[in-house]
Amino acid sequence: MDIIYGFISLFSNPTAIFTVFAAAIVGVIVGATPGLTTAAAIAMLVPVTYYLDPIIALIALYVIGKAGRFGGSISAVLFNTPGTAGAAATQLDGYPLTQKGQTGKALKVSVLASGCGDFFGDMLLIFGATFIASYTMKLGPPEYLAIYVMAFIVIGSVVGNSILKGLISSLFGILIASVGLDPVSGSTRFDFGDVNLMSGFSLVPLLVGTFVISEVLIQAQRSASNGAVGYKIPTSEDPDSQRLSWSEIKRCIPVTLRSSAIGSFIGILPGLGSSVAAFVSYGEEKRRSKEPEKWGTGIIEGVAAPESANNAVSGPSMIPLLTLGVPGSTIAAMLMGVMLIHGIQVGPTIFTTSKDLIFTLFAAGLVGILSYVIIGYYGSGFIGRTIAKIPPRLIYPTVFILAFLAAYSVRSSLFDVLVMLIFGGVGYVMRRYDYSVAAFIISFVLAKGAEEAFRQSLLISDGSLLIFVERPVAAVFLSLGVIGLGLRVRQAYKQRQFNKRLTQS
Amino acid sequence: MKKIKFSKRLATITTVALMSVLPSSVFAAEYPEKPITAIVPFGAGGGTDSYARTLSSVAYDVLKQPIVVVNRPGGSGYVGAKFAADARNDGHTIMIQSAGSFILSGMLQKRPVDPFKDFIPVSVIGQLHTGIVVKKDSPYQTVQDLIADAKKKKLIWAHAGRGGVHYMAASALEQLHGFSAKDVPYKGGGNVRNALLGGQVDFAWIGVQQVAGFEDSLRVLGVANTERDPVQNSYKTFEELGVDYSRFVSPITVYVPKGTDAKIIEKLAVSIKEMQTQKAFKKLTKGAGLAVMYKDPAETKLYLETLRDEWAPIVEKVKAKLAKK
Repeated sequence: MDIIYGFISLFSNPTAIFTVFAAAIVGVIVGATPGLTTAAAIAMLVPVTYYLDPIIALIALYVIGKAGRFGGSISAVLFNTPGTAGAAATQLDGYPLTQKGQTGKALKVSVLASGCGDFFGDMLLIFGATFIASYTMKLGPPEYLAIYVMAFIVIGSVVGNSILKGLISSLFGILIASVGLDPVSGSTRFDFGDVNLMSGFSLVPLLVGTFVISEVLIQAQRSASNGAVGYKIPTSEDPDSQRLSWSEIKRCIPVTLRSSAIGSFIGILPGLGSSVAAFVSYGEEKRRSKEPEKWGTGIIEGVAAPESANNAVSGPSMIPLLTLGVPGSTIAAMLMGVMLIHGIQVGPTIFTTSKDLIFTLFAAGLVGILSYVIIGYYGSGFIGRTIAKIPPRLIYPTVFILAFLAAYSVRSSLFDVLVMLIFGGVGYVMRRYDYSVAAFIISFVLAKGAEEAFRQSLLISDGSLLIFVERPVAAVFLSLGVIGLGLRVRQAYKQRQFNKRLTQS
Repeated sequence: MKKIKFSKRLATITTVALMSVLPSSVFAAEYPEKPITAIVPFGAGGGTDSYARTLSSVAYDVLKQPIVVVNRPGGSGYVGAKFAADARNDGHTIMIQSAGSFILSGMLQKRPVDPFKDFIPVSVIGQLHTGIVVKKDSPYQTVQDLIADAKKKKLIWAHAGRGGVHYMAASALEQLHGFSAKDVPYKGGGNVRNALLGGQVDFAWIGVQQVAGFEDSLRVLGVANTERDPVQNSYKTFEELGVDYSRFVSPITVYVPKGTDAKIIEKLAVSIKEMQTQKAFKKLTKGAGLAVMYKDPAETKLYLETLRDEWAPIVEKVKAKLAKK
């Protein structure tokens, strides 16, 4: 029970305990600010951490990352602008809840689901890291491609009502993803001779543009047509709209557990990331639901599913980092940098050579979860009430300015700010004409990894496509994807028959 | 009266003239007058970034001004390089590059800046070494074993990108020994190592510092340099092993944009040397396993040009081979 020693060493170090609480607060705030991504905040802190005791440095970054994942849902719920990439799925049902005046309820579901998902993921990390790593290590490019395909099919069910429009949005995402360096030959594609396009578009400016800027434009348009007063976040006098009843919690438990499992699985695989985890579990739960038509209109399951998956990524994403030295996310890469500079060697031996440090860090992660759950649960009502008092004419301009900061801070690049603005316009047009921006972003994320895996596989197999069915694990994931696709087609067909009968009678 | 006026005017003219001649040397004496921005054309947390961060951690004690590291990743290090080349050449913007891949990639493809024409090298501060690595249970005990088998059948190997130091080192070896193997590019050294650990490939070319912590599961067959890596010094070089090879290394180099005053370069180089003697710097680099080196501006220029000339014929052949693919 190394984790118990971890707790003992954590609680015997007052600075470490203080760091956990401080990091939880900072993480929630940073995550909640639509312009400040957690990754950017951590990047700013990395140089400072060189002067700190290694355990304090790691605790600070790790807990900020965790709390930030939850924090991202706050602005998604309140303003329809995701604070982090992982929260983009949360706004699908979170924001409609706010429009119904149930902000407090949405935030409470979000924080509880986040905490559960995070805890679930951490348990896997603490008790199964070495075991899991021995399996994931064997996954090669063909297996990854199969997983990408499966994820893509599952997410397909959230792209909106029109399959054609969903496909067009996805193809647009794939097209944008193909700008930059060819993953195999290293030559540039579609860069039009511009050095800034050489390495392609990065996720944050695209995300901030299509989700945040477009929302600001939509809000601006709405207040212009409503006169100068603008709209206000509705508040409800009914106390039940802010509280969570036991029956509601019960409805969310199975959703949260399944989504935590999905999030953890995706977290184990480096490179997919929390936005994919959140959308996959949202899509899967919507498919499972008896009332899929209610999804997107503001139901609490639609917040619980993506939030638990998003946070469940946190712990398991440390597994490839610690045991294999493969960072799965920007945050993981920065944690690895901090470990490197402090002489902590990542690799299979880390659980013996740096045992005390690692388990103290894990203990800090668990205390960190508890901290942000308490902050979020008891703070959510307060946050909701306070924000409701601020007029939108102050909120959205602030969000707009913060968006510039977000786009710039990733690569210190003004070009990225331009990209954000252009895609703000693109996102606005897409949303006006009902093309899913979520499908666009997810395709962008998945296409890069999928292309790389596909072409690596073909290099290994000398161009034979059989490699995807000859390798058993790849074959299993591919057939799961195909079954999923079949089920969707059948569902769509049945729906159409049903509609036909309705119109005939 | 008139005389005084004239002498006054003369004095003014002289002062103005002197001011227009002197500034560079005067400013050089005061350099740096504000924080120095160090462009790292790779992400935070990587190898080159770690070198930059350790240097920046002791910069203030020596320069009385901080060095602020700014990561501008993308385009195999050329996005940041373009930014640094366009910056004012007053010594307040420097670039810390992994020069091996920077130079090679510029030789292989048309790039927006030229590593030799658009920059002046200040100092080599460290060096990354590449080598052949196999899994511990691999049948290959020596480089010779591997080459012999590669001549019989097509082996699969992993690297972190075509055109980089690792890929070119491998291509040189293939050319010298007359074999060809199937290459699979992965994103970053960590993923290459993982492909090796998972048995996806027969061998890999990676930076030997990547093997640290994985000694139980990986075996380094040889390092493509004349000298051993000063930190990972248990790995033999190809020279020691008696294998024909070409030298491939990536010197971590501090650059300034072209046209920077020689006095500023000198001041910067001397300061870097002093930073490397600081206790804090030694502690950090030792902990991180970073190999520290120092070359002055003249040595650095000569070293980089020598490497380029050594590599030119190999690059030409690789270009021809890639054009066929």
